[in-house]
Amino acid sequence: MNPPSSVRVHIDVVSQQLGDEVVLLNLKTGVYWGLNKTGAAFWQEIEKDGDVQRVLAALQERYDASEPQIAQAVRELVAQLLKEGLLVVDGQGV
Amino acid sequence: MGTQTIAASDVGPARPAWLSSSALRFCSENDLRIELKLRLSPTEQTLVYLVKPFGERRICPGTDWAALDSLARSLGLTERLGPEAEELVVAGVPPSWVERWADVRRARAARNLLLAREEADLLSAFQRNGIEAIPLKGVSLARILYGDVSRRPVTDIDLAIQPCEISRAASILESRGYTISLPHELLRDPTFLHSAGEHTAEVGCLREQAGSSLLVELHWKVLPLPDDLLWSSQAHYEAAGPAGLPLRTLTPELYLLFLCAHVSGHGWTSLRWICDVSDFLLRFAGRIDPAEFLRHCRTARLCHRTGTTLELIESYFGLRWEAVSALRNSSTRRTAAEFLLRPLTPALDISVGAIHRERLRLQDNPAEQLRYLWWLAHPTRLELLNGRGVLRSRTGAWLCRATRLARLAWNEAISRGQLAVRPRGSAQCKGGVG
Repeated sequence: MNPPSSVRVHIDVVSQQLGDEVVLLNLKTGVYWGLNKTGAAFWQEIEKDGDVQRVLAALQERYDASEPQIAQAVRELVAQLLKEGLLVVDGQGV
Repeated sequence: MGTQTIAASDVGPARPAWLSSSALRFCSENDLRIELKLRLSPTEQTLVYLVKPFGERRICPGTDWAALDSLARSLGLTERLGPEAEELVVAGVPPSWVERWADVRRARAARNLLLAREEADLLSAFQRNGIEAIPLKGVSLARILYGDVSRRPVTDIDLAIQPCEISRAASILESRGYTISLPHELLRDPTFLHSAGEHTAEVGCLREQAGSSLLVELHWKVLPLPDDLLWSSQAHYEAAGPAGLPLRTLTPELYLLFLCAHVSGHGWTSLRWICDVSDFLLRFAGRIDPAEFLRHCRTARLCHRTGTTLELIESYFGLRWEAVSALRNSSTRRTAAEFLLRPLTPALDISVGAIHRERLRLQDNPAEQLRYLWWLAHPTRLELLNGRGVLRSRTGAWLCRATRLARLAWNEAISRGQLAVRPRGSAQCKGGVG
């Protein structure tokens, strides 16, 4: 399944950079997640610009992996973050 | 024993020309005071080396890592161990402990993000209602010191509010679901507001959110200085965190004094507050006017306590602030040496009586000691309210206070072995001990 073209951080989610990592907290539920170094790079880009294609291009510049590998990883991460309510599809409420 | 003198501008923002005397001196390891080396166990000394705000991380032979972890937790220092994981491993800290501390920091980051957002929301709510509020300590201090909310253990949100606005501010918190620990009647009582000292002029507000408790403390007196000075002397700080907006709080001179007063108010028992003062000095030395700082110290009659704090900072971390050397003398050195004789003791282990004795002893002069005693004799919220939270008469409150102090003195005397209680069925004895 293709990821949505544009996403943004849920209004109830805040983040903190911890060295290479990022900690995400859902203020409503109190549940928090950690993103590793590459996940943190993705998060930084998504906070700047929710356009998934642009984020993909930015990550391709930063990492040595092939385009399909990065696209696959981004698809999976976006799906997971949407499922956990940390990201929302742009234009869908909250 | 080489010492390195680093201009304040090297460790903080650009130093203006008028601050030419505010150099911070860093001593080499060999310059650390001999008392420190003699009094700390290898584990304690390693902890000090690992949490010091600058310099090489060192491990003392014989360090017990489980004991160090436990001590760091009890002193609220674990968060200071996490940030430079690679550096710690290189220094010889077992990786399993480094990973464990990183976990603590992740959890701390999440908790503090919650507090940071709530603090930002509260500041906005107060602003909308025309109430001025000054964020102190807590996540706001972490934001201006490190640009990272996870670097300090935080239990609550501390906001200074003008005495005349305290009841209205509490109402705003109530409208957001908080329960207030004092009745509004008391928060509107000028006598009560005026009689509270900087250690007791606060009202706690509690609410549950996301499965955890949020505690907000509204303070209406944070330093023994005139209110108008406090409320007219504020500064903006760059701060990471919610929206990354600059944070408005006390000027660097007043904030540093506030931190020194805070750490001395807790009897210097927690190394983490001494770390706060060191970090603040390192971060903002370039913005602090030493002459103004000294002036505030004298007005607030905090010279001895501030001087002692600076002695301890030098003893623990080798950080010396030459520009305010006037605050240091044989008396502050003696007081600091007494604290260096004690092991690192978590603040919670200190009794109320011991805290008052310590504060009394550390006043700048006998006149201040009398002033402290007079203040101590005044009824507090514990006596002004009865068990049902209703205001007592003034006379009743004074009587209750006298009884409480007498009982406190009695219990202290017994615990120190100055009085022997014999089980002879004397009602006086039974009542006193109970």
